[in-house]
Amino acid sequence: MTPEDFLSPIFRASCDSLMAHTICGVQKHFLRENMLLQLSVLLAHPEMMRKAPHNSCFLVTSMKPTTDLPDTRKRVIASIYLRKGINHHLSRLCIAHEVYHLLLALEAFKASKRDRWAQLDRTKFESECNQFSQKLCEKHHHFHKSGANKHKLEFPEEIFKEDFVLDLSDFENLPECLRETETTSAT
Amino acid sequence: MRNVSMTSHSLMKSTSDDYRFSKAGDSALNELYSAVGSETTEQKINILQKELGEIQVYAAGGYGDDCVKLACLEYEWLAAKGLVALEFA
Repeated sequence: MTPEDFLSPIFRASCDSLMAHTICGVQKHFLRENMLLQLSVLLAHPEMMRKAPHNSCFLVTSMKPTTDLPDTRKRVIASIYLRKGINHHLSRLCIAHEVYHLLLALEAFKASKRDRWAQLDRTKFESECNQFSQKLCEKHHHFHKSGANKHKLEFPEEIFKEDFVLDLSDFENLPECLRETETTSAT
Repeated sequence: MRNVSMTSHSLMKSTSDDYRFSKAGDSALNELYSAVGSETTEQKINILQKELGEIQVYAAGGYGDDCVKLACLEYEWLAAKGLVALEFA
């Protein structure tokens, strides 16, 4: 295998990964609470849709012991299931909606003194989840539209010139554009 | 018993319609349920929870009843057993 063999599949999968920044964000949020979140976005099986024909998405979560880790971190496994065939706008709203359920579950877990990853009322928080989803997607929309993240999306052209050889083991000799420190963050 | 005179197209359609998840998946679930005498939705959920650990299920739209929960748990259980292939969105 060569790096070239992986380029297209990984790039294509990256382009298809909806709400990837939000997913990273929520993983960071969990990590701050000393919890590892393993989150996948999947397509719902027809049997799930047959049982809930009006639904756009589902969230299935569980907490697993981290027996392989010599520390106190808890591991949460979460799958967001999307209705097959929905467009990417609705998909993103769905992911954000389910992310809010995860955040509520985390808060409930903390309130239980980190004792129980329990099922919350399945209908009680629906409108809050929708509200969060709409607001979060609106923030993303304005952020992308404003071009505020342009400097993060584009790379410095000079690193793609043919005579440039990337050597990440030699920080001091990297070009200035890669060495300069960054203080701004996305909002 | 299946009608053996079906065309291959209708046979394929009939076969996929007959199974909820897959032939192997459905029989694995039936085996699990019959081994412990689980018949009701609640009993089936309980045995799957025992196998998978405590699992939360949320269905956007407020239709998250036990039938939905059971379908999600069954799919997760089959995925854990390698009897269904998860499809990434």
